[in-house]
Amino acid sequence: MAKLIKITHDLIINILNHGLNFPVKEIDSIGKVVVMNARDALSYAIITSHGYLDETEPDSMYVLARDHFRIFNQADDFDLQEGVFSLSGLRLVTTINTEIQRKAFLKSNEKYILPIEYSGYSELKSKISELLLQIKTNGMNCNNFIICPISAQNSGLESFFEYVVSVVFNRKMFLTDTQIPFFYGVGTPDVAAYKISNLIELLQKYGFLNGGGSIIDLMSVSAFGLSDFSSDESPLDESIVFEVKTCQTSSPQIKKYTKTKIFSKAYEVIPVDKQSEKYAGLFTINSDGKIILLESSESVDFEESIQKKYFQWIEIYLKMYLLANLKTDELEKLLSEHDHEISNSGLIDFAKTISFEKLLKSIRNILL
Amino acid sequence: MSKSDAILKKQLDNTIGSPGNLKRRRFISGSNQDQHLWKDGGLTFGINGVSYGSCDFAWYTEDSWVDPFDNQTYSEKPQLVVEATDALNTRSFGDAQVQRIHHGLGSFRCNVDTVYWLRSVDDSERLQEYVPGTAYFLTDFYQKQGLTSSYLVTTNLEDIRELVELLGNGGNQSEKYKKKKKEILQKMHDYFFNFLQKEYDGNWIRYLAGEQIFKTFENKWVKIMPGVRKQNWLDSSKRGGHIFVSKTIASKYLLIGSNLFDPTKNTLNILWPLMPRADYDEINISKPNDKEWRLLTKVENANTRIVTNDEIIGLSDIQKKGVNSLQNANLNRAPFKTNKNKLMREITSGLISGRITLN
Repeated sequence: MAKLIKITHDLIINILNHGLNFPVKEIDSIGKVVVMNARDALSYAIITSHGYLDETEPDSMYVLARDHFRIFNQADDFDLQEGVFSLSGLRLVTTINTEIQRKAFLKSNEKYILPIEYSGYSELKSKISELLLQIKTNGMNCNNFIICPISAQNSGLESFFEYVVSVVFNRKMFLTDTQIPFFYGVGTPDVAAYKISNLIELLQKYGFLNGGGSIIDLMSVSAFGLSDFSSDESPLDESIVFEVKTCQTSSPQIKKYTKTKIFSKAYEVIPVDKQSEKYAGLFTINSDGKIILLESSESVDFEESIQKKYFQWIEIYLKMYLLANLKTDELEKLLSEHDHEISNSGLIDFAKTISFEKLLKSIRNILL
Repeated sequence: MSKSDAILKKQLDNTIGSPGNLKRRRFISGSNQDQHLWKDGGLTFGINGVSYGSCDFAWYTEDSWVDPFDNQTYSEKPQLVVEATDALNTRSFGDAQVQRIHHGLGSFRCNVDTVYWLRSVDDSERLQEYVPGTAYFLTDFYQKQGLTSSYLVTTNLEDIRELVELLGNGGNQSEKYKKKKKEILQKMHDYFFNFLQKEYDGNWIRYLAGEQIFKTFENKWVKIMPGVRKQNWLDSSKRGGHIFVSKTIASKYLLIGSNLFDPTKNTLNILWPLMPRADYDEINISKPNDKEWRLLTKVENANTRIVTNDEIIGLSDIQKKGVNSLQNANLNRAPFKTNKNKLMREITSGLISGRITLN
């Protein structure tokens, strides 16, 4: 019978260390932490919504969320949402740049992911207060710590596994996104991974991707720099959907997404000891934190023409995130250079019409 | 939490912050802590052991406060609570605007100033007039009974920023803060009454009829709610309960605001024509602790009475068949939508003419 694996402090450390190869460090009186550079940590913080310790914020945490960086509400649609762009005139509002302007510590120093187990909110608060004292005693900077709260009920950790899936598939040269806008009435996939060969090759060529990457990585180029990556591998187009659960042993609702025939593979993401289902593969972990990927016994019903059409929308969606590397005045200049109106509708028209390569070149020229 | 909630909270964080000695309470993402009571560190308020819906954001001070939920004293005093929605910008039509109004009702009834913020931008949907109207009449009604809090509705973040700024600088007893509250209340009043005047020549009866609120031949006030069925309450994927509670509250306070209804002696019959009494009883047994069900049937039920299909007298056999055929149908699709609308028109005209009565 399927049995959920209990998520603990040690298991989180093991998943990040043994599963994803991030180094671990022991800090006096605080314990084991996972070490990430500032860029990886920012991706981690945004995808998981786990907060940086920050005494100036409520609950002493500065929390960023994937939902802060929204662009569209639905797939195959270009209805702009408040998030990266403002709905009140053409303006970049929530970008990696604006966040770093607000909190400079996001960009500097190595960061430490520290899991904290708790059974109630008050216990979490008191553990954080104690931790803050200890960090001060150690002469360290609290802003370098990101807290991964683990509730006794295993709940609230879906976003952690979204991050794990994202990193695993980024390293397989996929573009990933979490909580991606999808179709009205179908729901929102927890994670989607895309290999769109021509776009990935261009992103790598112009330094926007180091292999694969998440949407957050695409937005982070102006803050953290371009990459230098080359590969002889020519990826084949592929799209995969994932549904994450941490409190139940199966997730049949993933069938809602596979029914769209966009995805050629599907995985349930559950910390569980079981075989994969017929309708989807299983992405899980063992007690040592190693990643286990089991394929479904039946193939997913998929149509290449539907996938292609969807990828056309994804291309524009990606362009919008690439534009988040600019500042508002740079964006205005870019639009006027290409004879587009300086407005949100001009922005959408621009993203629809400019070629992917030309856009990458333009942004690269601005950044260099 | 919806995806847009995270953005709204971020806007409140970034635009307003924590002026003066105010502190913020809000939960950005991946947490259900907002569903806990205020006393337990959450953003849910309640009275006499019954909780209302959870809110999105609060500014508080470190002062003692007697929580009406359990009449105990706690060390954090809520000063201004915000329930926020992006319903004007997400192409959510119908009842999306009103469906969260009962969330803020809890804090308001705990005598805490409460703002229902429906964020507006250049091309947002029109704010439905009955949303500020309901909150205005709620405020008027409860202030006459001794509350000092206001239930404010705004589409403008600047209103909240100013309120919090004034609160942080001078506290909730400062004249400037009180004046700002009055100014927002006046805007809500004007928004509603300008609409009533412009669209209905100030005629409340016609306006209420458009909201399916009317008086029967027997002088009973009725609000018809055509869509209420068992599955709306028992299927967790449907948010029916939210809409029905909010629509019931809105109907009652609009009626009170019309001055056609005397809350000291009148009752508003909330008619659920597609719901048999047996289904009502089943929900009552199977979901006694459902927040919305409790609010509707046990807490916010003063001056209201829920009337099911079994209490309708005088339906023809064809109409009864119509009721049966709609009980499990998708009411938003043809032909059921048309059939439902026709049946509701017949029930309404029957109740007005006296051909149909309510037991």
